[in-house]
This record gives sequence, C-alpha cells and structure tokens, in this order.
Amino acid sequence: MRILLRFLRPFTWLVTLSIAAGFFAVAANIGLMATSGYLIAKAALHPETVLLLWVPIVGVRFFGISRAVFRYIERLASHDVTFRILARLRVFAYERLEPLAPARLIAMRTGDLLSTLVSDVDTLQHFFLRIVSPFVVLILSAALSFIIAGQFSLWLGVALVSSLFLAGVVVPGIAFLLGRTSGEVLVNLRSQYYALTLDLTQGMAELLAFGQYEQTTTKLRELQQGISQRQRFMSRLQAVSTGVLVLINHGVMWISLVIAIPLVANGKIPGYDLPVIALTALASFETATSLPQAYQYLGHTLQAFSRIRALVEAKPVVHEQDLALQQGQPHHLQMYNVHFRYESGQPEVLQGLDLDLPFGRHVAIVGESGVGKSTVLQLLLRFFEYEIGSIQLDGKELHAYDASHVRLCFSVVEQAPHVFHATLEDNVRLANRYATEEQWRNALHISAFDEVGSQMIEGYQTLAGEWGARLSGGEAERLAIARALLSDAPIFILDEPTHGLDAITAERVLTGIEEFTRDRSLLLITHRLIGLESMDEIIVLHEGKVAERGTHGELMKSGGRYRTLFERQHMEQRVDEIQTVKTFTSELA
Amino acid sequence: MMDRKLFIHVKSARTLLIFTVSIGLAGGFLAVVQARYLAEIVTQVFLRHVPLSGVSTALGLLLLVVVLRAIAAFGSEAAAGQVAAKVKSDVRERVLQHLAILGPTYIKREKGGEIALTIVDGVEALEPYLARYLPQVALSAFVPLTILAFVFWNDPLSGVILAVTAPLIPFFMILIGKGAQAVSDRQWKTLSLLSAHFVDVLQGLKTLKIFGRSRDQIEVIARISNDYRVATMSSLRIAFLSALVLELLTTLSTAIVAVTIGLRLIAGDLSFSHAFFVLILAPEFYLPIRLLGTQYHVGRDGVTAAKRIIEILEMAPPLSEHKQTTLRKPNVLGRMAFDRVGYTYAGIGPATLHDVTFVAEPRQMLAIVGASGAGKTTLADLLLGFIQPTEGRILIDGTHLQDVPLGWWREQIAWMPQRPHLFFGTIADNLKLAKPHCSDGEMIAAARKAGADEFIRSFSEGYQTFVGENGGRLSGGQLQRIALARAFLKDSEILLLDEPTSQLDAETEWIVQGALRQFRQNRTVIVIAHRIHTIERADQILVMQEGTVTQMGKHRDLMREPGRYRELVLAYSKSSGEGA
Repeated sequence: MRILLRFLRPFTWLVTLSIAAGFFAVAANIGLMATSGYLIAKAALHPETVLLLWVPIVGVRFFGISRAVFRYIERLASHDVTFRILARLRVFAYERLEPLAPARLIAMRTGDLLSTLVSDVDTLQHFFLRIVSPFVVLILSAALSFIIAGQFSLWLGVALVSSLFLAGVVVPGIAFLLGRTSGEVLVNLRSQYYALTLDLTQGMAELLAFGQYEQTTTKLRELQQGISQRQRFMSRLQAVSTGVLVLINHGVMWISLVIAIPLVANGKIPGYDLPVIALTALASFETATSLPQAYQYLGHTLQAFSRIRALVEAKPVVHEQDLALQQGQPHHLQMYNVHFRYESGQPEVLQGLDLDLPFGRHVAIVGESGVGKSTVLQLLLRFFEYEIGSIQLDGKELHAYDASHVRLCFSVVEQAPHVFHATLEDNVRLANRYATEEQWRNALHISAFDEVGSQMIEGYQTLAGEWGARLSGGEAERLAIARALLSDAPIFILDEPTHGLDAITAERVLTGIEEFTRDRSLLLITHRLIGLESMDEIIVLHEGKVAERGTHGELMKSGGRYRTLFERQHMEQRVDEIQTVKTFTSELA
Repeated sequence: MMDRKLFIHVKSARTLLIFTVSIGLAGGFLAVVQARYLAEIVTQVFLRHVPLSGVSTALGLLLLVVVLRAIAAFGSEAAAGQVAAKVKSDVRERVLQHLAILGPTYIKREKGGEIALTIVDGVEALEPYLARYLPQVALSAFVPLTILAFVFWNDPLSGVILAVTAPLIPFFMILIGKGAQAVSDRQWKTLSLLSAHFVDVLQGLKTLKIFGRSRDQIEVIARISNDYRVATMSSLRIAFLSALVLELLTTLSTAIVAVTIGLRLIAGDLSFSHAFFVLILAPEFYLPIRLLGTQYHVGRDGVTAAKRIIEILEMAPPLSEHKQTTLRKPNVLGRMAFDRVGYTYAGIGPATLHDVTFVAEPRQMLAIVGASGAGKTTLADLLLGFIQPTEGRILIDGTHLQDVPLGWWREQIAWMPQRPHLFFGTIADNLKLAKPHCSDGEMIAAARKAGADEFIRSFSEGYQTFVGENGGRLSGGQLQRIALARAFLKDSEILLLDEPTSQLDAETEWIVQGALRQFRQNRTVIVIAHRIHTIERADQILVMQEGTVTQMGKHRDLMREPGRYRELVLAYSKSSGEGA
C-alpha cells in the first residue's frame, strides 16, 4: 500500500484538490438539508419579518449550487489523477519487464502476461479514486457531522459518528473479509478463463481440425460455472451488506429522533432543531455508501499489486554492466570453450565451443536442429548468461559491456521474427529509423521483400495483421532479412535465414546477403547446407560439441560428419541432376 | 434497439430486468411512507410538544418501514446478482458457439486478443449495464412519478416545481448523453487498441531488443497512455457535465422548494407537517434520476460492449453456411476433386485462387508446389472447410463438400498447419490434442515417426515439459516436429501437411520421409512443400502460380517440359548441388 501511495506523490496538488472538493460536496449536502430544515422550522413559527429568514434562504441557495460545482471538480480531478497513475503504472510495469525478456518471459505465456499487465494495471489505477479518496472523505465528513450534531447533544454526535463508523468501516470490512477467499479464487478463475479464451481464439484452426473445439468450450463452460458460483456468492454478500447499510442509515435517523425528542420535551434544545437533526442524520450518510466498493477494490488492488510485484521483481538472467562500446567500428568476436545449459539439471546445450570471427570473416555454424546452434545467437545477444568459458568482443569479456551496446554491433535475422501490428514499412524501418532511401531500397531488393510489398494493394503502407497473420512464413522471414540489412551493423548473424523460402528465392537472397556482407563479418547459423562454399570456415556442431571445422572443400575431402550430412541432403538432388542433365543432353543430341 | 437485440439473444436478461425494477419500485413506495411518519413525528413533537411516549406508535411504525426498506435493498441486490451471473454465462456461451461457426479465417482477420477481451471483459461490462443501468432507467421514470403524486396531494405548488424541473433532467441527459456515447464508444475502441498494442509489444520484445528499440517503447507506452488520458478526460468532461447539470437541477430545485415552502409557512398557507413531508421527499424524488446520472457512463460502457457482442453474434459466417444436407457419409477413400474452384477474400483485392481443377486419387500422394503466396495454404483452408469456395465446387467421392457433415469430415483429415499453434500445457497435452484418449505408447510412436522423440526426451521433464505460447524455447524445427507428430498421431485417412519439413535438418527430414513413405501405403497424402525430396516421389504434382494450377503431372514428366517446375527444381539443385 505504501508503495502504491508513492505513485500519488507527483500529483499531490491534484490529490488534495480532489479530496477537498469531495469533502466540500458532502458538506454542502449536509448544509443544504440542515439549513432547509432550519428554514421551514423557523418559518413554521411565523416570525414577524421575512428578513429573519434571509440568512437560511441564502444558505440554502449557496449550498445548492456549491454542491454541484464541488462534485464536478472532484470528479474531474480524481479521474485525471487516476489516468496519470495508469500511465505511470504501465511504464513502471514495462520498465521492469523489459530487462526480463526474453529469458524470464518464456515461462509465462502472453495471455497471462496480458491479463496480469492490462487488467492488474487497470485495477491498480483506481486505488486513489475508489479507495484512498472515499476513506479520507469519510473521516473528514464524520468529523463534520460530529461537530454539527454535538451542538445539540454529545450523545447525538456519538450516535452519528459511531453509526458512520459502523456503516463505513465495520460492515463493509466484515463483508470484505468474508468475501476475500472467494474474490481471490474469482480473480484466479477469470485469468484462467482469459488465458483459455486466448488459446481458443488464436489456436482455433487446430482445435477445429482436431475436433477439440467442443472440448475447449466445455472446459471454458466449467470455468464459467465456477466463476458464476463465486460471483453469486459475492453478490449475496454484497446484498446483505447493502441491506444492513440502509438499515443503519435510516436507523440512525430513528435513533436521533429517540435521543432528541426527550431533549425537546425537556426544553434542552429548541423544537425547531428537531427537523435539522433528522435531516442532518440522513444527509451525512452520503459518504458511507461508497465504502463497500472501496473494500472490494482494496482486495483486488492488493492482489493485483502482489502479482505485478512478483512479475516485476523476478531477477533478470543477465546482469547489466555499463562498459560502453564504440559503435560503427569493426569488431573482433571470439569465443573460447563456451559451455551453456538453460537451467541447472538440464543437459548442456553447448559443450566447449570455440569461434574466431575477426572483422570481415565469414563463418557458418551448421548441424541438425537442437544441437545448440541458435543458443550461440542467444548468448551473443546477451539474452542468456554463459558461465563457463569466455566470449570476447575486441578483447574484453562480452558481459562487461552494456548489453544494449553489444546488440547494436549485430545485424540479426532471428528465427520466427515478430511482425508488429504496424505498416510493413514501419516493421522494416524498426531496425533503423534513419535509413537513407538507398539503404531502404537496397535492403528490400536483397531480401526479396520488395516482392511482398509490390503484391500488396497498399504497398509498404499495408498493415501487417496483429500477429502478422497476413504474412506467410517465408514473407515474414524476408521481412526479418530486410530488417537486418537495414540495421547494417558490422557483424551479421543469420539464424536459419532461408527458412520458408522457396529454392529460387532462398538462393538469390543468400547470394545477395553474402555479397552485401563482403566487407563485414558474417555468422551464418543453418541446417540447410547451401551457399556455404564461399565461407571462410564452417563449424559443424553435433550434440553441443564441435564435430569438425574447416572450409567446405576441406570438410568434403575429410569425409566426416559434414560430408555425410551434405550427401544426405543432396544425394537425391544429385541423382536428379544427373538424370536431368542426361535428359537434356539426350534431347540436345 | 440494442437492448431489444440483446434481449432476443439472451432470454435471461429480461427476467433480471423485471425483478430488479419491481423491487426498486417497492423501495420507492416505502420511501414515501417513511417520509410520512417522519414528518408526523417531528410535527407532533416540535409544534404540539408531544413527549416521547406520545409518538411511540408512530416511532414503532417508522422503525418497521426502515427495516422493510433494508429488506427491499437486500432483495433487489441479491436478485440482480443471481440473474446477472446467468446472463453473463449465457452470453459467453452464445459467443463461443458462434465463433465456431465463423471459423478461424474470421478470427485471423479480426484480432484474437480483442475477441478474447470482448468475451471476458466485454461480457463482464454487461452486468452493470443490465443489473444497474437499465433498471435504473425504468426506476427513474416510475419512482419520481409515484413521489410526485404524493407531493401534489400534499402541496400542489411544490408538486409543480418538481414536475417542471423533472422533464428538464432527461432532456439534458439525452442532449449531453449523445455526445458522451460517441466518446465512450471511441474510448472502448482505444482501450482495446491499447491492450492489443501491449500484447504486440510484449510478444515482440525480443525483436525490439535485437534492434535496440525496446527502451523506446517506454516512451511510446507513456505517450499512448497519456493520449488515452487526454482523450478520456475530454469524454469525461462531457459525461460529468451531464452529472453537474443534473446535480445543479436537483439541489437547486430542492432549495427552491425549501424556500417557497418556508415563505408560505410564514404566511400560514401551508401546514408544517405537509411542508416537512415535501422537503424530505424532494431529494428522494431526484435520487433515482441522479443515480442514473452516476451510472450513465458505466451503462454506456455496457452498451458499447453489448454492441460489439451483438456484432460478433450477428456476423454472418464467411460465406454460405455449411449446409450439411446429406446424412450419407461419402467414401473417404473416393476421389477428391476440385472443380474450377475459386476463392476471393472479401474486400482484399484479387482472387487468391481461381479456376483450380484437379483430382486427387485415393491412396496416392499429391504434392502442391509453388512460390510463397501462390495460394497453396488457401487450398488447405478450403479442404478443411475453414472457408468455402466462392466459385466452383469441391467434390468428395462425388458429394459436394458443403453437404458433408463438417465435424465428421475433419475427423478424416490429419492436418499439420504451416504455423502450428502450441497450446499452453505440456508437450504431451499438445500431442494428445489429436487423440485425447490415446496411450503414451501411441503418442511416443507418433513422436518417433516425426523425429521428435529424441529431443523431447532430452528435456529434463520429457513429455511433461511445459511449453508456453508459440512454443517458448522450442526451436522452429522442434515446433514443426511436434505439429507433425500431432498429425501422425491422429492417423486419419487423409494426411494434409503444410510445409512439413521446411525447418527440419537433413537427418530429421530423412526420418520424416521414411514415415511418409509408410503412410502413403494406405493413406491419401496431400503435401504442400518447397522441398524436392518430399515432392519428387509424389504420384501427382500440382504446380501453383498466382492462384491457379499451371502444371500438373509426375516429377519425371514435369522435368521434361520447360516451365515453372523445372525452374524451381533446377534452382534448388544448383544451389545445393554445386561443388559436390
């Protein structure tokens, strides 16, 4: 709670304004009813001149107008504060999450992340409007009621304040405690429901094709039953507390009468004060009615906050350092005996990898999927921390540098690139906002992404669907290549860049990239053994270890694993080629 | 308009409304009775100097009325809660059913996240709308009328004041409310966009980091949130203005009633008892209308949500609904024929497919090749019945596909999509999706055929390893193998694979090819592919180009004629065979 209150600090002025206006609005209502009662009671006594009633008449009008105005100010100020808090909360959450990506976020699915961030942050934004403000205003108006009622009798004051306390704090408090467990379960169920709904909408094609759609809706139906059951319980609880509040609200008016009537009969207070007392008692309850809601929000808020805290307090996998790295320079990248496992207890994905990538060299890492090829990229991008071995950039340990500087040394084509819900142009230019027209055209051409753009009616201004649904796998891949080319850093790292591309395009694109990176470093990670002939070195990984290394020619000659892989991949083609050539020659002959 | 539609779609909503309104009315009536006794008691004590004992009966009755009011408040709230829960579950049920009819192509175009948000939060927003706002609309008409009748009875002049000011309130509300609604609609849209943006950014966090743009998003999020605040505040200024006007009207007319009553009391034209009665009732008169004001924008959120829900419910299925006129199951192992099939995505330019004609013979392997975007995946969507041809027809053993029971038909196809979705759960959960009650042995056998068993076992938790959305840490090839294993596990008569080996390494592809060879012995296999290995042994190859079939035949024959196929194969052989 204290941490939450810190979110209010920058807006002290607005907060004060909102609370003050809220209190004055309540006070004006009490004033309106009390003066009205006083006015007609005095009038009923037939005073000699109307002038005697002048003060209450003006008072009634004043309170009537000021109440509406104060209420308006209070609403504007409190909502403005709320939205300011929302903006700060979103940024707060994102700022904390950003360093956790991607390593820490893999375990959480986006549906959950979304429900935590969007709905929890939405819940938290109301903590001032619906919790802090009502409580403070209740306390202030209870004090006011006590002062007014105390004028007539101490007991009246005590009755009023204690019933306000009962109605504002005790009853909703008990209701809150009773409903708490249900509330927690409810929030949990709802987030499960949300996550399942997201699976349903995003994986609908599979669910339908496998005949599991019904199954999933049945699961949703079961969850819904649980939700309904809890919600019914909560609403019954709320109904009881509302009933009790009405009882206290009007009951205290009744008690005030019982206390005041003997005092009037005794002559201790004048008779014309009796309507004032009854009306004050009724009017002062205005604030108490918003408190049950405040408690509900308190519960939600504390829960949402603890969830957000758990999320944002996870320790990043990578320790941030701040050694600056000169940008735009040729870099020398070296790896010595690097070992890595994703989690303790899991097998090592890399078991002693050495790599030397001086500026301008072209190196390929090949091997079947799952041998740890992509892990190299994860380590170089500082998404994960290596523990054994050493990775050096220009002679200094990679983890001594500021991670964001390190990433800027690389132009990366990642696997399964994310296509943002934005125009194609924005999606590409993401990599480099200041790219020149020439760079832009060049990148599109080499990546063959221009073919994608020219197919769209709106060209590069076409919106790529939310999850890039309108781009096929190969098109998304070409987008990723265009991005990397545009970012144009000294070291290019391509992770399976030709995935999803047909043979013609794959070949053309790969040649283009190799040409483009002639005066840059290139690290090509692939399982498809094409375009490797011009590589300075090829490293063959097998089960996390380097099986062999050398140029294409050397490896083919040595007849090791590379040759086996290569032949397995190409045998059938070669047979075909020979046949095709034969056919051709025979046709020619 | 919107309400009536909602009531048509959801019957339970009507019950909810009737219940809460009638109990609310009873509460209004009790307020009048309470005012009567209160005025009576105060008058007796104040002007007639009656002691406590003299008013004890009236006090007793007053207490009874107070208790009854509390019970009414309880009753209306309790009833509303019970029925609201039913309404919400009914609405969700309807939406989910309808989404199944709309199919995956609809969701792909709309936003999956936005629809999920509507189902969860949008439906939740119906509760305040149906349980509070709508009843309040009815009560704000009935309760003031009841009170007005009693005020007239006691003091016609005050009655006139109330009667004159009351119509002003709805008038102002309609006037201001219209503007507020437009703004509120926009607000709901912004909110959806805002959360969609959030998911997008979070999902792309890795990409953003790679390009050094992730920190920029802090500013973007702050800016978007701030824009949202400014936009929302401008809508709220209007919404609250209506509240201000309402409040001014009610408090000022209470003040006017008090002053006029006071003046007439001096003149002796009015008895105190009647005057006090009217004064107590004046705020009660406006209370329902004021509550309506405070719930106005809550209600409007509900209206907007209801509108979106009805929009989904009334969304026509992509094309003609699946007719399912026949009860006869066609022979799955009959011929599958595309007869001049064409397909155009509504509103998105040129036809994706046109004039596609071919016959797939049973127990044969049909390969479909072509550059990305040639329409291969659309062909798969058509076959799965996710979309229906806009031209031509698809015949299964002579029966129109649209007449075949869709659920049964899909059971006959084991499909591996191009971009498989992995569901939140374990790898085993994801595999067993294809065959929920299969044994672990069957599952493992399928995984082995797809070359997935080995890497799954390398995880410390094996088949019980949790996979997040989009596969989490799984590589593209691993994801593909799981999807392939899923299709193998289903073991249907027809195997439909969309680029099954695009991310597989040579060794795994070897394994998969072996499995495929086995399958085609007694299954019909349709495979969309780039890879030559997969294609060349096919009994028939379709070459697709710009949405239509340009070449058809066996590998050997196609290689002999000049054309797209030879270009594709030669390019592939050249790029991979050089230097060997």
